[in-house]
Amino acid sequence: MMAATINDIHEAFVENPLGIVKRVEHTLDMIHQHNPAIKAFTHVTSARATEHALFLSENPDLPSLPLAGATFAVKNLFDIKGEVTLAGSKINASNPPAAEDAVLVERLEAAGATLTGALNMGEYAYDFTGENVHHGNCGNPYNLAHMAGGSSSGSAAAVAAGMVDFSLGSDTNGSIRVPSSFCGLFGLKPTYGRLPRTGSFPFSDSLDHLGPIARTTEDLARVYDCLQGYDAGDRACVDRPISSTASQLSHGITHLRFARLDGYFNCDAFPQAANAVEKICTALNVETVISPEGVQEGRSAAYLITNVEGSSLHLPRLQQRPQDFDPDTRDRFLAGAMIPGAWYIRAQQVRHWYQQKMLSLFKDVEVLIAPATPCTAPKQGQKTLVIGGEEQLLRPNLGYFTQPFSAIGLPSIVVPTMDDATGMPIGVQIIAAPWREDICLRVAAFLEDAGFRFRAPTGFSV
Amino acid sequence: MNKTNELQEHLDVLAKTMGITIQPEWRESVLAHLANAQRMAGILYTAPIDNNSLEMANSFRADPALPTQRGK
Repeated sequence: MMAATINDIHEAFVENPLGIVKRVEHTLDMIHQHNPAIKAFTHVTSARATEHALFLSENPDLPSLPLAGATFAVKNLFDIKGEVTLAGSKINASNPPAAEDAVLVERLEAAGATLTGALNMGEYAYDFTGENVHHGNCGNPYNLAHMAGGSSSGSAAAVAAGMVDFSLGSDTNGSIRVPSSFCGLFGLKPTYGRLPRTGSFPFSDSLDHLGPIARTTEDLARVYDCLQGYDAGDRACVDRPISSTASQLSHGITHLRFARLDGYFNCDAFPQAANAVEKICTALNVETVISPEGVQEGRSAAYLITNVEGSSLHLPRLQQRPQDFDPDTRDRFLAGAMIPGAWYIRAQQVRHWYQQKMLSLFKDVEVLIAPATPCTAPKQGQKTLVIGGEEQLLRPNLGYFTQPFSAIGLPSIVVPTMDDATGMPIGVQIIAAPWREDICLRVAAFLEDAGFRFRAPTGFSV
Repeated sequence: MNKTNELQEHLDVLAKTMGITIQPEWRESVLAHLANAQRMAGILYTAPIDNNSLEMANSFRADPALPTQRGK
């Protein structure tokens, strides 16, 4: 039942609107069945979902609603009216419930999708693992002993396990793309400023993005098209025309020029990532290789901007309730509160400089190919990663390949591949120039047709 | 004074200035993250940027869009 695309669901329910109520009931049953093991949901909005399904089933406008009948859930940093926005924390639990839905939640429901709940995440989004001391570690549906990836852990795990048709996550340094890679999904981090963040809990304003995760490119594009549009509630949101991507998915990749990124993005030390990139580049017949300059500097800028802005946001909580943080995030926030102002200013300066370097690449190519994660999902609790024979800290390095693109707001989509040796998924990033999400999606659709698809994990009826 | 001592002193002074209490059992981890931030800052200063320029990514606009009713 869950394997259907949103288009299939829409067509079925235009014929039989009452089926929507039954499908939502079935979805809620599946969530209750699987969630104790996966820990993807922190709150299930059962009553709201049932009410919305009933409303839809009687709505004469149903045929014109592009997401009618589809179910979704959101990372618990999105406001849901009447619920407390946890942002993965214990501290926020004492906040009052949200007075309104986040703008993107409003838009999805207006397009006919049914919200089923709030999803687990790394505390305050400062995480790549999906581990959370307050709400439990989110398990990877391909192997529950492994990480789902973070910080949008529940957003990926819920979609991979078939508990929802799609989800929303946030991505400051890789938090949509890392879990999409680990859970074998298509995840889109749009251009910075494309989707309004109104009604979502921030992390690092200069770098925060929101975006969708889905099992197919068709679903991803359909959802993304419904999410677009200016909203003045987010001052970083840019007023641009909506780019209708779903209708362009079949346009193919003729006339697009590709380059595989090397240098900083070299995968010699990461054989699983190297294999994944090789497979994608073979399918796309990519011959050009570029070693961009300034990436290490740009990534360092993103690291410091995140650290300082996040710590500044949380300063009152660090002063008053440090013991209530997840220790893994608390110590990084504490360090960030001690960083000299000159380092932050330099980071913003370097970010601008690095942006100019990277944008110049798009004079010669339209699409960049890079790994998404250094490896497949590590085991839960794993603290280190072997890089080129040397043991290094795992947490900061899971975002090693994603951070350089969010640092300058480029659109990036993760396309799934399967690591044959482990049977675990690992994604590859398709990156384009600012505002060209349509190109990322077209390339992803081409690759999906070529066999780079979501493959349901064993034990889940996806 | 070596780098480790410098960072320890920096942490002690700044924590006091910022009104933050670092519990002894958190100290080693906070120092490790601070050392990492210092390493990242070192990388930033290797970028060949004109010393007489200060072009930052986050530039101010005098004509921002007016927020909506629900805008923050």
